[in-house]
Amino acid sequence: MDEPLRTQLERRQRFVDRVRRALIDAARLPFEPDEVDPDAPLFGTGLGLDSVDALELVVAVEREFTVQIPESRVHAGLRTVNTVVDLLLAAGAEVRA
Amino acid sequence: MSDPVDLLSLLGEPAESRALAGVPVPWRYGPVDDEVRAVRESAALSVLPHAWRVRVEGPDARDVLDAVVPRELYVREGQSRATLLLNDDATPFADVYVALDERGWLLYGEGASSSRVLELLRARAPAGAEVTLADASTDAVLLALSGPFAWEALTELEGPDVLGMSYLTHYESRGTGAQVFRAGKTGEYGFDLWAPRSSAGELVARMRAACARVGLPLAPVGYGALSVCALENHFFDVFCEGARALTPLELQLQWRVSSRKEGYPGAEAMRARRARGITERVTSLHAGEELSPGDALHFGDERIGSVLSAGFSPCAGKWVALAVVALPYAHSGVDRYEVRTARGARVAVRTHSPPALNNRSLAVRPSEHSYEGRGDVRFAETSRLP
Repeated sequence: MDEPLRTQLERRQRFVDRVRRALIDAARLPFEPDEVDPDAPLFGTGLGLDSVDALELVVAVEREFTVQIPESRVHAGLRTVNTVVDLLLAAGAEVRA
Repeated sequence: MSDPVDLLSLLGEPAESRALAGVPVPWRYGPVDDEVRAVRESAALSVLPHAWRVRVEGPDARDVLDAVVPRELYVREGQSRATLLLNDDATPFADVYVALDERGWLLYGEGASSSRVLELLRARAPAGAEVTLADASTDAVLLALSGPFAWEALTELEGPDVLGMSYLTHYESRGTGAQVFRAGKTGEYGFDLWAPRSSAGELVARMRAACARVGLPLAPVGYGALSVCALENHFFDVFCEGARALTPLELQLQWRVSSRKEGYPGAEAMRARRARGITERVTSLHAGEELSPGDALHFGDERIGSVLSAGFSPCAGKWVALAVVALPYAHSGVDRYEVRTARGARVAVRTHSPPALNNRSLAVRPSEHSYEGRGDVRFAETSRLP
């Protein structure tokens, strides 16, 4: 693994870790962070979030990462931890090492 | 027992059939791409002769099921839950729903067979358990209805109450004799109908007539298209990624099993794997060229994984795949990997966050929309892939 790839992957992992924790807190999920798979569906089957949880998650990550996620992107983007990370990256969020 | 050939031709003669768990299943009726589009754009009907269903009834039914299912049985009457059945090494051998109705418990799914599941239930039942175990597949067949307007087909057949069905609920249809589950593995509206075999042909005819009344195309769709749809939407396919020696931890299916429950087949292996930590994880990726199961995934000259399942997504216009990838590399958004195919090609791939599509069902509101009036629906751009 070269340094640019290592930097990219470690940055992504930091985002995944922070979003997992924000999700667990916002939706009061009875899981440890590593029990939340990055591609597990948030709604319906999967983690079973409802619309209130969704709103709380958006508020939580916007606060955590100091960004505003465009409302037009929330509905389609709030599918998994990974898609939430994608939303944050697109919104210019950053996370320190 | 009914002749399996009858089920194979229930929706018309398939152009190709394949064996799943030893049972002939319609793979396609025409081009797979057309069938995938039918699932994604209108309504599609599939017959799944390989699916099985068992009943678990009696005073100790819950305890018997609890000894086998790796998930807590917090299920109310009329509800179902998705889970797995695991081997002792924690690899899944069946993709199942567990449900509770007024008679008792039901387990239905794909992979393995009803006889294997019944044998497991008997073997793991607590001593002296008062329970009746029965194969509920022999006189029934599973029909799967999928698509952004699948609800319209069922509503026309069953009445408007269908519109109020929540996901993972079920009811017994007096009109058709079918047990109807709101469930599916395509990412669109979906309904599983366990219909009596003796009247399945009549049910199909009535559903087709109902769709014709409202101008809704109802396409026969084989397992080939359902498999592509599952891949596009990151639904577990027990016949693809389930065929490898991976546990729910590597498969990203932890939500289907309990991290705290003990005693089910595979529980010890799961605990041991959690304690050790996983070294690889399934990751979604896509490419502009053909990918195949078994193709090697590389970063430079370093092999970092292999393709588990792959298919062409006509809606995304790309090949989508699921690969098992060494954990440090198993992340979305990487465009520096390549697949080295068995035919000697090197194909640039990009990892992505599934699903690969914006499902049209997310934009359809059954209380307002219809297939004929679909021009009024504001669909998002289909592909989510960069």
